[in-house]
Amino acid sequence: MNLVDDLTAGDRRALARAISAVEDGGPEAAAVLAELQSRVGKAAVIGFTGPPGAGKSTLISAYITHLRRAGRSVGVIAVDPSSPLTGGAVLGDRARMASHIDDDGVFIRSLAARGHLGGLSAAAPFVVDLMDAAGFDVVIIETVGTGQSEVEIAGLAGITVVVFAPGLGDHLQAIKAGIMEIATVLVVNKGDSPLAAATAAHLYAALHLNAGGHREVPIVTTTATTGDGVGDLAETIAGLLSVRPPSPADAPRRLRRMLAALAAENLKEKLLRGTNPEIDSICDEVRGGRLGLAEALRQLARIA
Amino acid sequence: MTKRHRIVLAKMGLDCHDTGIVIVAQLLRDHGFEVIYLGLHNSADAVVKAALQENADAIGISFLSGQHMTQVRLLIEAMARQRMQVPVFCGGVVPREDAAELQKMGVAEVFFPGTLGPEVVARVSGVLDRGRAA
Amino acid sequence: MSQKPPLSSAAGIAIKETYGPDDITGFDAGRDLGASAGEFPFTRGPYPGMYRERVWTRRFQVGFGSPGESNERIKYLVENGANGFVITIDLPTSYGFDSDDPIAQGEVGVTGVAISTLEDMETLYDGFSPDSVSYALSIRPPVSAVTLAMLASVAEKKGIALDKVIGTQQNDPFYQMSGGPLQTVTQFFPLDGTLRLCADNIEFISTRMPRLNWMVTNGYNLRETGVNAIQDGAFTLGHAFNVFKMAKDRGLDVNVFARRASFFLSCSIDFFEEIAKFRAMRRIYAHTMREVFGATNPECWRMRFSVQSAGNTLTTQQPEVNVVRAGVEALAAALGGAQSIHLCSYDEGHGLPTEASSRMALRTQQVIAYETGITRTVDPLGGSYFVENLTNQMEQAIRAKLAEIDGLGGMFEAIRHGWLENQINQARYQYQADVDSGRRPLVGVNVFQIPQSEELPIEIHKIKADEWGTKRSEYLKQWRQRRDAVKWAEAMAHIETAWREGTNMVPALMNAVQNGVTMGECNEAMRQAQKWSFR
Repeated sequence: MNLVDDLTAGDRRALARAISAVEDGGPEAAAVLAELQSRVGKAAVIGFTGPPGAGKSTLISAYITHLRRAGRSVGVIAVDPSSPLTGGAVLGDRARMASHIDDDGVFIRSLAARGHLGGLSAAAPFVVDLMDAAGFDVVIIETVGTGQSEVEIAGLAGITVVVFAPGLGDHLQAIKAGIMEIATVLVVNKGDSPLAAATAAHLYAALHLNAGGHREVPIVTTTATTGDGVGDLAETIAGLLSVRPPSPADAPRRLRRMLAALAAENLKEKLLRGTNPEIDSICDEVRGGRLGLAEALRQLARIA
Repeated sequence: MTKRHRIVLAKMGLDCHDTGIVIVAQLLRDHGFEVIYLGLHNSADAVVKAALQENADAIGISFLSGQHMTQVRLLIEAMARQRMQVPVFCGGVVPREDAAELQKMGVAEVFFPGTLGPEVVARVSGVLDRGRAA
Repeated sequence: MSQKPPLSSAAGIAIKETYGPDDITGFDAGRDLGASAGEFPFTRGPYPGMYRERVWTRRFQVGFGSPGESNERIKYLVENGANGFVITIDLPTSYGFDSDDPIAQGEVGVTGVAISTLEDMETLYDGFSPDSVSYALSIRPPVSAVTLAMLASVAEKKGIALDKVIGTQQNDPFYQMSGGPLQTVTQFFPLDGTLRLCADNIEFISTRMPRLNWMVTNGYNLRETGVNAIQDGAFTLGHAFNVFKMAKDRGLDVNVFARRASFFLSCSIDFFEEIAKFRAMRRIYAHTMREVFGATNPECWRMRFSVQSAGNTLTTQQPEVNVVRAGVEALAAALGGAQSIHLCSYDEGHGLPTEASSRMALRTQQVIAYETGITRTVDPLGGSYFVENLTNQMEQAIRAKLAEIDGLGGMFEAIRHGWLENQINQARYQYQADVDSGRRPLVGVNVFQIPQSEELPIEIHKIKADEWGTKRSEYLKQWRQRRDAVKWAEAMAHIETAWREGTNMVPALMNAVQNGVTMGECNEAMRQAQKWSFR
């Protein structure tokens, strides 16, 4: 028996070990990933993102309660940042989902971003695949929520829920940063705050003032601590899933998007660090008008 | 990519004094550990199950108000039940004679109040590195 | 070895070589200190005469095992001249669980006494009358609403009018459970419900039991998390002011309810900084109560507090040295004008205190009170260039922090949004880093250590958690069999109705405990009324 057979058969210990294998890389990871490819594409993948303090973990916990009542099993990937200096991390999200620990239909795994600049662990797409193969109906990814990761999560998840707390002004930043474009659902959490309605109104206005903004993005108000509105959120997500159910094409798409993000990031880092003579010379050529932008990009892509 | 030490830290039972364990969490993070912190009021089974899901290399717990003997016994029993074999570290206000008893029960290291940060890191790393080499 | 002492205070205030008149420019004794102790703004002390009139109360902390065992201990102490007690409560009771709840395993009677039934409270008062012996219950809502109902019921049964009952229900909604993580106050009961019961208690006590202290803001547990003296002052006052605002919003008269408010504070080891903290807090409190809350009753301007020496300054290494630390902290508390003092025992780094170590803690206070002569005059440090300058700096720093908290919408909001927890986490990590690096010298820990073999042997308090748990489970089993099932069910239903109708919960809880409903059942009924569950 190998790890992938075991985890597909429902062995949670094997799943836990396989996740570590893909996180750590190396030969075991390659073996796991090779076995995995034919067994994915059944899970609905839902991303939760938003600024720190918006109550994402608590909201996810309340949402899991709904999914469990509907008989759906849930895998959760909770991503927190790694320290850029030491590579260590304190991963605390699962503390706010502790009420599901006795439930065998829920599996929670904390991932450190491990230096991946986008704020989402580079192993995340593989962990999604593993949980998918392990038979979870729904895989939830919670990201760091500090800016770049929102865009990446949209690549991984079929549905991206962006969560805000009222009164912190974060939603205004988010509107500026283009978060609205990736959201499939917007949530105003901490709905018992007197500022919740105003925040929802802001989001609504921002959606409809956008140039060419004919995207209908539902806005749901929730209070995760009491469970108010979480039923609405669950219904909204279920509605979206019925329109576009999970498919075997999702996994390769996830991988492709992840590679795109990684490649872009990798190149950006090399460009900005400015220590590569080849890149330096391309830049000089462009500045001197000797090299066109399109050709420069082609050359840069080869270096990345 | 590299292998990193992953450790689950938790408060068990009703004791809510978390200063020590939160400092240790930050300390270990600053020495490259991935710390999964479970917060307060965890049952023994919950700690073990979280450690299994996280594929943790170790479990760390701490007590201030005299619950250590009961709670450690419950934890060791839960680990046996769930077939989990990783080192357990225990810190906090623990009388020395109890510490010997805890080690007999299977606790790898006991940390008394006043243990300096570098010593905590060195002893935890020491146990884990020996385990990895073995 | 020689240690060069740090040249700033523990909270980071720079300390100069000498202080002179230039360091207190504009100083006006009448305005800044009050003409004497007991006059606005009370910098020198809340009462005229201070310890010349009455030495601070040397509080005894009691509470372990069953109510019977604790009562026997109180009787012994009363025979030896004590009359004021802090009753510590075990953890299951503190969270609203009966001794036989599975969650209570290993915790029954360990850190305090278990109280599950009205009979338990009656046993605690056996031989005493609640109008003559004062118990201060270290308890928070929701549980403080039930213990209040029990206390009022004990008084009724003994034929004592409620307005004669003395004592304290600590009733601090946030800081009572260890001061730090929000999880301690949200895990087992909804936060809004906790705040409602806090206000119910204030209302019931200030209208029906005017001699009972209804609110002790617990700055002690907060400080124990590792925050500095400035944060301590600001977070403690900010929290009290937020509670007062809640009471005012309910339509209660500040001139009535604020009379029975007091504080429980820590005194740490940085001697002058702590003295300055106490003096500055009294001054800020007086101004805020008069000018912000509009209190016209001078009683409401006086900040009164009890002090416990800082548990987090104790060391496990060379524990006998802790007697000196507690002594220095007691001296600072007395020079800072505390109304009551409790000292930590030297062995608390090893376990819960023994009788011998508790006695040593008491004797330390008695030496300071009766031998040193510091009680002979009020605020002996008043007018010192250094102390007045440091008091002014503490006041400014605490006020700046209070303004920051106001900007967040008050302390409740700051707690709810995790701001407080962040502040605490940063502070305690910094503290450990300072100890690790030796920036903060700790005798026996990072300087002047001795080998383990030279440590003196130490006696350990024996915990009988399993024995206490078994006995209490047996007792509660019988209790549940003995009570009238019909009346019990009616009383349970009445709790839910009262909760939903939004009436003051104390009368409903009195009815409940008198009809056999236990502490755990009262809490469960209130949780159900809120459609809330944690299990």
